[in-house]
Amino acid sequence: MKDNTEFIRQFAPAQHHLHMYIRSLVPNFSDADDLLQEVAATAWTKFESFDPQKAEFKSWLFGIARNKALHSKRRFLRTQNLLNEVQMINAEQFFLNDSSINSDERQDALSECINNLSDEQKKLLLGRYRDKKKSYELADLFKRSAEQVRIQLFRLRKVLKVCVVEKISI
Amino acid sequence: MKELELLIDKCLHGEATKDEEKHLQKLISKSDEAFEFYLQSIQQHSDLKEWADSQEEELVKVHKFPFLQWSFAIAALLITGFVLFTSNQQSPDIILKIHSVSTNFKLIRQGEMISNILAIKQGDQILVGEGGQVRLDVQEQDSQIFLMENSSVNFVNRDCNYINLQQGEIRAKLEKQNSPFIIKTNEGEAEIIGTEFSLSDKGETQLWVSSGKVKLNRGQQDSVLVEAGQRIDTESFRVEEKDGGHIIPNIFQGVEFFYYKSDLQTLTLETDMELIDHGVRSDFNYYSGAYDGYVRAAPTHRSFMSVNPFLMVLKAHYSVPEASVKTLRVKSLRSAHLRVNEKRYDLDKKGQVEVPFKQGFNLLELRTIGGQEKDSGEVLISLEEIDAEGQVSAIQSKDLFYTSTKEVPDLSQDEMQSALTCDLPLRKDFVDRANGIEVSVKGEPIFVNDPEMGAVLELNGKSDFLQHLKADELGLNGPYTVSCRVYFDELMPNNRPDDGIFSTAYKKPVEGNSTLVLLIRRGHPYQAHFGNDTISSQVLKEKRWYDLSFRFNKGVQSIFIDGELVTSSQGHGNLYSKQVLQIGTWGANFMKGRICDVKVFNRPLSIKNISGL
Repeated sequence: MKDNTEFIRQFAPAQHHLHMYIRSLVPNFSDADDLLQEVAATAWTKFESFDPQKAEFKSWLFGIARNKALHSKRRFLRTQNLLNEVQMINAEQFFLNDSSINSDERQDALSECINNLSDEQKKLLLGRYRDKKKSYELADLFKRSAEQVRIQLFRLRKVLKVCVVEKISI
Repeated sequence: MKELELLIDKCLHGEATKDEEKHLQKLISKSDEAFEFYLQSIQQHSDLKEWADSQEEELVKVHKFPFLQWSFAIAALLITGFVLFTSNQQSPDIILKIHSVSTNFKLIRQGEMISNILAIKQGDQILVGEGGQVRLDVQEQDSQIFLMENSSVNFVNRDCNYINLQQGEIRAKLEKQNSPFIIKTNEGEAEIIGTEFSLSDKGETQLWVSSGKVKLNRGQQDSVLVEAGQRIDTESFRVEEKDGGHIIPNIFQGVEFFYYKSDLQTLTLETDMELIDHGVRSDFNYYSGAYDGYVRAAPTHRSFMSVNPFLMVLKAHYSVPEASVKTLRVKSLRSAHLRVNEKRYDLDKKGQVEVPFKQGFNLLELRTIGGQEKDSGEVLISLEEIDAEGQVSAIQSKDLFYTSTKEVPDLSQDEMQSALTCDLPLRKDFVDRANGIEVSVKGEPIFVNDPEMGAVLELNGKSDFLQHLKADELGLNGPYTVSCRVYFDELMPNNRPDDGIFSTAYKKPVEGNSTLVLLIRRGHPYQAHFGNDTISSQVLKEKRWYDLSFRFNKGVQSIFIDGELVTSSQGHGNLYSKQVLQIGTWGANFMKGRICDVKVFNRPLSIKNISGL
C-alpha cells in the first residue's frame, strides 16, 4: 500500500491548479470546494492504481475532476454542462500549463498590488472572497446597492489585473 | 467583456439565476477570445480567494476552527480510507482517554465527526483547532499526551500507541512503557519508552526532550538518541542543547480573559478580531469604571480600552463533582453570550438558563462588550449559579481553572536564594539580609508586637517610609518579583485613592516606563511602571493581613494575593528607573498600617514559589 505522505506530497503542489480547473468546470466556489473534496477522496482510494509511467499525477487528477464534473448525478447539475468537451480539454491545458512558479509569482504581485489599495477596498475584497459575503450583504455593510458593489468589485479586479501584469512583466 | 466578468462573479458567488448561467454558457461559446477571458478570470478569482484566505491567519486570532482548511479535509479523507482498509476486533492493551479539559477539537471516526467519545480507537483522527488543546490520558498510568493547537493526528494501531502526526505538535509525559510509543511525522519517526518531550511537524520535524531519552529516526538509516535538555530537527539532524520552560501544560486556578478590538469591522460578540490583551483573573465578575482592570474611565496610556469598546471573552474550566443540570444567571450591562462546553445557550429575560453539566471540567465562556461605561462600579458582567432553593451565589474561584504552558517555571531554593536582591524582615531592625545594607528610615516608624505576626513595622500613614537601593541595583529593571505582608489600619486615609506600598520617585520617561508603582488603589491591588498598569478586581479589607506579590516577566504583569494569582495582563514594557526604592509610600500617598517580610527577586517566581513565600 502506498504511503499517506506520498499522496499528500504529490497532491499538495497540484491542489491550487486542480482547484482552479474545477472552478472553471463548476464556476461556483462552494460547489467547486465540494467537488475538490470528492476528487481528493477518489484520488486517494485510486492512488494504488496510479502509474506514474503512464501519466503525470496532476493530469491524472484533472481527469478524475473532469469525469466527476461530467458524470456526478448528485450535484453540480446546474453547471455541469457549462463547458463542452473541447472547452474542458482546453481548460485542462490552460491550468496544466500554469506552473507553480507562475502562480506564486502572480500571488506575490497580487499581494503587492492589494497593498496599494485603500482599507475600504481591501475590506470589500476580504468580505467577498474570505468571508464569502453575497453582494447584498456587502451592500448593507458598505451602504450602497448590490449592483454598485458588484461594479466596484469589477473595477477593483480590473485595476489589479493590470497591476499584476505590470509587476510580472518587469 | 464587462458583462462576462460580472456574470462570472455572480456565478462563482452563487448569485446567478439559471438564465444567467445559460447566458454565461452562451457568451463563452461565442469566441475563443471570450473563452480565454473566462479562464483568465477564473484564475484571477482563484488568486484573489487564495490571497483573501491567507489574510485570515493574520486577522483572525482565536475562536474559529479552521476545519475546512484543505490540509485538514484531506487528512480526514485519508483516515476515512484508512479505516475502510483496516479493521481490528481485538481489545487493546493500552487505552487512551480524552481528558475533560480538552477544547476546540474534532474527533473523526469512520469518516464521521463524533462527540461525547472518551476512549480513542484504532483509526480515529483528531483535529485540534486554533487555540484548542486535547489532553489524552493513558488509562491506569500517570502518562499524558497533549495534542497542541492546529494539530492533526491519527491513531494507526490497535493500542493507539502508533500515532501519525500529520501536522502540529504533540507534547507528552510518559511513564516507562512495555512497548514504545511511536510517533510518525512527515519526515521522521520517534520511538518513546518513557520521557517528557515535544515533537512538532510545522514544515520540518522538531523534537525537544525535557527528561529521559527519545530515539528519532530519519528515513531508514539515520537514527539519533536525543536526551534531556536537547533538541533536534530533521533538517539539520544535529542535536543541540535547549534549556528550560514547560513542555506539559499545567492546570491553574483562574479565569482567562481575552480582549479584542476591531479597526475594520463593527464590534460584535461573534466576530473574530485583533487580540489586544490576554491574561488571568480570579472570577467572571467585572464592575464598570475604575473599579476593575482596564474597564475604567480614567484616561491612561491604555485608555483606548475604555474610550473604545472592545470584545471581552472570559473562559474557564468549571470543575463539577457530578453530572447535573444547573441554573446559571448572567448579569450584564450590555448583551452577553454564554457558552458551556462550546455550545451556546440562549438566556431568558432574567438572564437565566438551565445547563447540563458533565462530571469533571466544563468549559465556560462568556462574551460581552466592554469599554465606554461610566466610572460607577455597577456590574458590567457577572456569572452566578442559582440552586434548587433559589439561592444565588457567584461561581467559586476555587472551582475555576485554566491550562497553560506559559506559566513561569518553578525555581529551586538555591535559584531563589541567588535571585534574592532584597530581604527585609522588618521585625526588629532595618537591615537587608540579602546584602547587609541598612535601609534609610524617614519619619518615625516603630516596631510593634502584632498578635498574628509578632514583631512588625508600623507606619503612621502621614510621613513614615523607608528608602532602599536604586531600582536598577535591586534588579527591578528586568523581570522581577516583589513581595511583602501587609495590614492596613485604614485604606484610603484622607480620601486619597492610593495606599502606597512600593514606589520609585516619579521621573519623566526617558526610555521605557520610568516609575515603579506597586500599591492599593481604591482598595484594589495595583501594579504599574507608570502609565502602564494592571489592577485587580479584588478589594482588600482593613485590619487583615495579606501576602501580596507583584511579578513582572516578559511583558506580563501579575498580582498575587495570599499566594494566588488574582490578575495578570500582557503587553507591558520593562521598568527603566535609577531612582531609589521607597517602601510605604507613593508620592504623598503614605500607607497606614503594618508591613514585614519584604522581598525582591530579580527573577520571576512561579505560582508555586510565590505561594510558598
